[in-house]
Amino acid sequence: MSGLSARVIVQRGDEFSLDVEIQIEAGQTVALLGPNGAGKSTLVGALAGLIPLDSGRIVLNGTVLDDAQADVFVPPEKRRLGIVFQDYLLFDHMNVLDNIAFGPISRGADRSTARMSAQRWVDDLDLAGFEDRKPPELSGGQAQRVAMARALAAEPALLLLDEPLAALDATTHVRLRRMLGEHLAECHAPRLLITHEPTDAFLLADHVYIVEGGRITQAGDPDQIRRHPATPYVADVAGTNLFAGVSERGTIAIDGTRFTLHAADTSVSGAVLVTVHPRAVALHPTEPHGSPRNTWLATVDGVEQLGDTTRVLLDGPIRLAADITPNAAEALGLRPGLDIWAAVKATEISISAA
Amino acid sequence: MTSESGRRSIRRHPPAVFIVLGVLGALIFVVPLLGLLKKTPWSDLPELLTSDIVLDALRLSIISSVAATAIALVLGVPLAWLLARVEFPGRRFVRAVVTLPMVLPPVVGGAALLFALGRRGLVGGPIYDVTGFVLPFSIWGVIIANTFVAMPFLVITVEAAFINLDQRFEGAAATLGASRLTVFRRVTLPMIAPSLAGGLVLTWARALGEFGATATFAGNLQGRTQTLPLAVFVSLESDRGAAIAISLVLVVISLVVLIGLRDRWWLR
Repeated sequence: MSGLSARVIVQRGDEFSLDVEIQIEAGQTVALLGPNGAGKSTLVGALAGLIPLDSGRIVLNGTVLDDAQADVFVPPEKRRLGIVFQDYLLFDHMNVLDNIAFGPISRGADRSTARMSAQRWVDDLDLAGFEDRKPPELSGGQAQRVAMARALAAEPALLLLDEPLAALDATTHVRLRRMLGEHLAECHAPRLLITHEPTDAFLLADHVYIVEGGRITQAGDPDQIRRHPATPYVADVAGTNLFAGVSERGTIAIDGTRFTLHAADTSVSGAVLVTVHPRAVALHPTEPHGSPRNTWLATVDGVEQLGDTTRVLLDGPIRLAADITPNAAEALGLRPGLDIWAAVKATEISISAA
Repeated sequence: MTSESGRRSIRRHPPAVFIVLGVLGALIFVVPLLGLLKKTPWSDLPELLTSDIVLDALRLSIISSVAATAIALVLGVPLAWLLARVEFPGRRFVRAVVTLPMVLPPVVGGAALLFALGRRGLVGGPIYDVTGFVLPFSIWGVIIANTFVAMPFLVITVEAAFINLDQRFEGAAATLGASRLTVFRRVTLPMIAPSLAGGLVLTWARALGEFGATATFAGNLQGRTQTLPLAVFVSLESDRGAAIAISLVLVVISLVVLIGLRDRWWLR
C-alpha cells in the first residue's frame, strides 16, 4: 500500500491535544489549513518523528513509523523524509551546496555523488551562482529555495512543507508559489502542505483538511470547501472567493466566463488571481446605482447559517459567496432560485500576479 | 564626522562616572604589571631566560597545560552534553561536583587528589600494587592536577552552549537521514564552535597558571614537576631576578594568546 495513512494523537500539556486522521496518496498534495495554534506544527513534529505519538499510528508506504499501542517507533533519520521548515533551519556554517547535499551524504552517498545531485537541484531551483554562499548571505526567497532543494535532494518518501511560503514578502510569495507548484508535481511522494494561507492551500493542494483546535473540522477538495464552509473559521478565511483572470488596467476578464470585474488596483497586468471577500459582496433587490463599479444580476443557489452571519451562494456569470447579516437575509426574503443584484466596490477587488 | 563604515556617527561623551570607575578598574590590572616591568633586570634578561630552571619549567608548563586542555576536550565535551541533554538521577549533584574545583582552594583539590591517587590512595593504591606506577610527583601528576582544576571551565562553557543551541537544527539534520553521531559532528559541534573555542582558551589559561593543586599533588621538582608558577614561587626566595623573568614569560604567553583569541571567539 503506497501513501501515508496516519492517526495522530498527541497531548501537549493539560490544555491542548491534537487528534487528527489524514490520508495522502502517492503523488497527491494534501493541504492542512488552519489558524495559528491549531496544532499544525505538532503534526509535522509527529510525522517527522521529533514528537512521539501518545496514541494512534503512522503508516508510510506500508511501513509502520509510529504505533503507540504496539510500541513501534522509527527514529527520524530512518524515515526518509523531506521537510521544508517554516524558518527553513538551514545550516549557517555550511554553504548552499553542502546544505543541499546534506541529505544524500547522511544517507551514505559519497561526497562527489552527493555534490553532483545537489548541483542538479541548484540548477533546477535557479540557485546557480549561489553555491558557495552561506545561508545568512541569502535573501528570503533564495533561502526558501535552498530549503526546498535540501528537502527534495533527500529523495523523500514523504514531503512535508511547514508554512513554506509564510516568511516571504508578497511578490516573492506569488513567484515561489508557482515554482513550488511545479516541483510538487514532479515529486512522486505523498506531499503534505501545512499552511494558514487559504490561497496557498487551494492553489497547491488536491485535497484540503481544515484543522482547528487540534481537530479536523472539514475535509474536501478546494472547491467543495470554498463553497460549503462548515465552520465560521472556514467561512472567514477559506470562504474567500478566488478567481483566475487577465487584468488590463484594472479591467479583469475572468477565465472561463465572459464576465469582467473592475478593480481600483491598476498596477498589475497580465495573468492575475482575484480575491473578493464574501463580506465585500452586497445584495440588493433592485439594480443599485452609485458608487459600486461592479453590479450584476445573480441567482441564489443556497443559503447557509454560519454563527452570526448568513452565507449566500450565488450563481450567475460567476459563482461566488456573499456574507450578510441574518436580518438583511430575512429582509431580502432569500431562497434558492431568487434573482438578486450583487454589487462589489472596485476597492474591494484584490488582485495579485498569478 | 564619518565612521569607518562611511556612515555619519554622532559622537557622544560617555558618562563621567563610567570613565572614572572604569579607569580605576583597569588600573587594578595595569599597576601590578607596571610594578613587574619596573623591577625587571633588563640587561640580565637573556641569561636568566635561558637558564635551566626557566627552560625546564617552560617546557613542563606548555606540555602539561596543552595536555590538560586536550583531556578536557575529549572528556569534557561528552560530559557537558550529558549534563545538558540527558535527565538522569543526581544530575544536579554531578553538576555541582564538576564545578567544585572552581570554588575549592586548589590546595584542597591537590590534597584530595593525593588521597585518591597517591601510592596508598583509594585508586592509586591498587594501581601501584598491580603496575608499580606512581602518579604523584611525575608529569602525569601535573597533568592530572591541571585537568582537575581547569576542566570545569570547559564543561560549564560548553554545557551552556548545548543548552542554548536551538535543537530544531539537530532535528532537521536527523530528518535528513543523519545518525546521531553525524548530527553531532556535522551540525552540533560546528554550531557551538565559538563557545568551545572560548572554553578551551579559558581551560588552557587556567591550567597554565595552576599552582596549588600541582604543588600539593605533584610536588615541586625541577625538570619533573616544576611548572612556571612553581618556579616563580621558588625563585622569589632565592633569585628575585629569575622570578621576575619567569613572571614576564607567563605574562607574555598569556597576553599573546588572549589578545589573539579573545576578540575572535568570545565577543562574537
